[in-house]
Amino acid sequence: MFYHIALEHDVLLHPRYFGPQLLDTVKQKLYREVEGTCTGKYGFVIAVTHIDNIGCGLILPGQGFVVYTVKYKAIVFRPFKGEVLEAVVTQLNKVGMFAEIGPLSCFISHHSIPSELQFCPNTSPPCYKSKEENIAIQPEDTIRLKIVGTRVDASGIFAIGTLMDDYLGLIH
Amino acid sequence: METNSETIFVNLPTTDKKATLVKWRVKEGTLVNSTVVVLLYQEDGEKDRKSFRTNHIGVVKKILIHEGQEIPVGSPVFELEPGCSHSTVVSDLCADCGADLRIDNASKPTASVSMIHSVPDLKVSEQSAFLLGKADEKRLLSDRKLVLLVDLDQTIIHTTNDNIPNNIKDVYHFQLYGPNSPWYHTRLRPGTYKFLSSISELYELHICTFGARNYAHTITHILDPKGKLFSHRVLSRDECFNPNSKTGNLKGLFPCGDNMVCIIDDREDVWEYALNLIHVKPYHFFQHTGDINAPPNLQKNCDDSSQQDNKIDFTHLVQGITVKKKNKINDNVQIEDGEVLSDDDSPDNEKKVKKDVVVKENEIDKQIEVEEEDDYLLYLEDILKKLHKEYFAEYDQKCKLYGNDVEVPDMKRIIPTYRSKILAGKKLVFSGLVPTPVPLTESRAYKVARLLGSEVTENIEPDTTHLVAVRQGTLKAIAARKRPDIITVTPEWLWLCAERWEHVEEKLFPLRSGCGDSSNRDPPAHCSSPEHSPPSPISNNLNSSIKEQNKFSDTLNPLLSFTDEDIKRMAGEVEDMTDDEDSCDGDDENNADETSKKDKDGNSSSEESLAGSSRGHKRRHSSSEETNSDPTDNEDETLNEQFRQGRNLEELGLDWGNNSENSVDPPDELNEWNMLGAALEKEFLDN
Repeated sequence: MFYHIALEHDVLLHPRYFGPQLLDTVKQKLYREVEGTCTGKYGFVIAVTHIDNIGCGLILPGQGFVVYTVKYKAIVFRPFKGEVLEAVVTQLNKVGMFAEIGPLSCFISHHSIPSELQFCPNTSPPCYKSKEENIAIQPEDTIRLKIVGTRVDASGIFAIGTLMDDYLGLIH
Repeated sequence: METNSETIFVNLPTTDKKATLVKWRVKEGTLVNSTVVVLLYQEDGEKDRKSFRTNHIGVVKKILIHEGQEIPVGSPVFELEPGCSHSTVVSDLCADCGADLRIDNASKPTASVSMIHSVPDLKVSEQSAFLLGKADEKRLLSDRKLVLLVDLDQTIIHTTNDNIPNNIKDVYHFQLYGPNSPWYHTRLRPGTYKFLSSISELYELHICTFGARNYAHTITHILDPKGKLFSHRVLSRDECFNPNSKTGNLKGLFPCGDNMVCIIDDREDVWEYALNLIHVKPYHFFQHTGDINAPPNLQKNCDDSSQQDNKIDFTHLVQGITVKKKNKINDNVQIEDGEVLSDDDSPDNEKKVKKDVVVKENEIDKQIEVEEEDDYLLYLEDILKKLHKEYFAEYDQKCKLYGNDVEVPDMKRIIPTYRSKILAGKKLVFSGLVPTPVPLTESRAYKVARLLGSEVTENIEPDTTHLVAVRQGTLKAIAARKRPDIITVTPEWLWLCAERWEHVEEKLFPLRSGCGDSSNRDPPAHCSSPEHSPPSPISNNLNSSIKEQNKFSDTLNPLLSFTDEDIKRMAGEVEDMTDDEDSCDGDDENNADETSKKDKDGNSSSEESLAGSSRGHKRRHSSSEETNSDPTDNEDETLNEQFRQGRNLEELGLDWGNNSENSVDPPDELNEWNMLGAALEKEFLDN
């Protein structure tokens, strides 16, 4: 799920940037350091939308570096158990398939793929195909899946998905 | 989550109405959870079908009501065995039910086999691995395919980090780790594309390399841009369980056994000298570079100080001069080109494998074309095709005898058997090939000949067919000349047979006067493999093969089959060891001394001190009585390595030509012989 929330980040700046462009540099550095990262609590930071406040810079004694506590608003993506999402298939194998939901990678076990879809390793690229061959899931295809579990680490999130529910599967 | 193991009878949601079961969406044995639609039903008097899900997690044990039947009010529709066995696990998350296995200590996962090359984190239980493996095996058999594990470095490609000009044709350049990282330059072995595409019709190709994941996938993309050949079957160093051996992962990738697996690699040690390995001739293109991805402990530094002139030194090329270089491999080692070997005694070395370097100066974008006549892949293709034929011939025969449900034949038996048919029925005699102090049966030439299935005798016997002689004028050579039924050949003939796995025409290797010195008495490293256990006789007994398979599954990732107690005990052992650290330290020092002494003893140069230490390390594990074990072993290893790096044997101090000072004999005996020889020489001179 996407959220628009207020967050805080400390930007550490080298003294050589002290000058008329100082605040611009702080902003640039904030974008660079924050966008695309992932925290366990808030999920993936997709984009910084607004910078609310750049605090007063605090010069670290002995070093000369300055610390700005920046308050900003950002769009974050945090997957939840039970959420239904659209994903792009990246890899298929006999054990299941891997898909990506933007920055989030997700695995779907072959137990969680409807039994009418069978793995065909001989096609190139390999795919999951129904017997009538009217449905085939290949890499790069878009599927709708439901998240059944997430592994939240300090540096990333990994999800387990399923296709065993109504309206899940290949999106035409 | 349910943890009790009692069966649950699952009812439909309580209503007063009767209902009809329209369709089952699951089968017996399917895992269901709250997301799975178990069945569709229709309540009496209503048009809409309703889908039913259960809140339990578990396996459908028995279906009690069949499709189209009526479901009486309050009666159960199926039996459910609660609990998920967590048979598929990705980074400690159960992929079936989504449970976090780090939190949920109550149920231990059974998943232990990582079956997917590129994702070692993904594990499945032994049971489902076996099922998946069986399905794979079935599919392969119906496609009449086998599995081929392909090594990259020095088998089908050669990569260097050295600076080379960027305009050599057919060399790929890439960076792996961003704009400021080192450049890699990769050259494909001649004929690689053709080899891979034609062999992929008979074999399912997998890549097994010690290169990093990034590297492996980049190379795979070069070899196979459309993903048709290898798909995702790429195993790289990042996924290897053991940094020095590739066999560890095999058991996960092929849970039903490696009976259908064939391996091509330029080194045998990383496969622990597996019987289903075809030891290929190392491919060497760039000067001064060995295998950049050799396992850390087995790696040896390339000796840059010894300049060789038989490789292309690319620094010349930058100036745009037409350069002709000598053959890639010194003629002592050279055995790859049968058709030109007839003029073996000609002094012109450049005649053989030639690398013609032509710089087209007219073009603005200069492209240096390097032609090399490495045609090994053609022979390898041939070997693999024949093995495939052999395999399925045996399989078909078995099917005829026992029906379709037979144990598949074992590649580990087929390959040695096939190899032992190459020179079967031939009886060889060696002349001048084995140094006198070495017993015939211990010599490497003998082992090569035996692997090919020929018999070797000490002296010429009535039924001898071939004499393998280094030079003319020996007693045996003279005796053989009187016998028209004996063909006299040079050792190259034998080495070429061993390399190509076929009976090479003997006429290409006639023994001529004066070629004695240039003949190579030692087989090239890729031809000689250490003694394998003799191939077991073809058994039609099914039981034996089943037993074998059981053994195989026992070895499945040993760490995971340890019980908690075992692991505790092991931890205890470690503690015990650390307790008496003092004594250990003493040992270490001794060993270190030993190592340095060894280095001085051997003719290894200072550049190889790295290698020396690794050897020392290895020795430390062996018992101390073994310290004066024969140095041949040691020497072989270095030799093998150096040959891999493209050095010729002459440089390695292995020239057998006139004196045998540097030969690989046990030194004690050798000195004795040398002393005897010196005394004799002195006597002659005095006279």
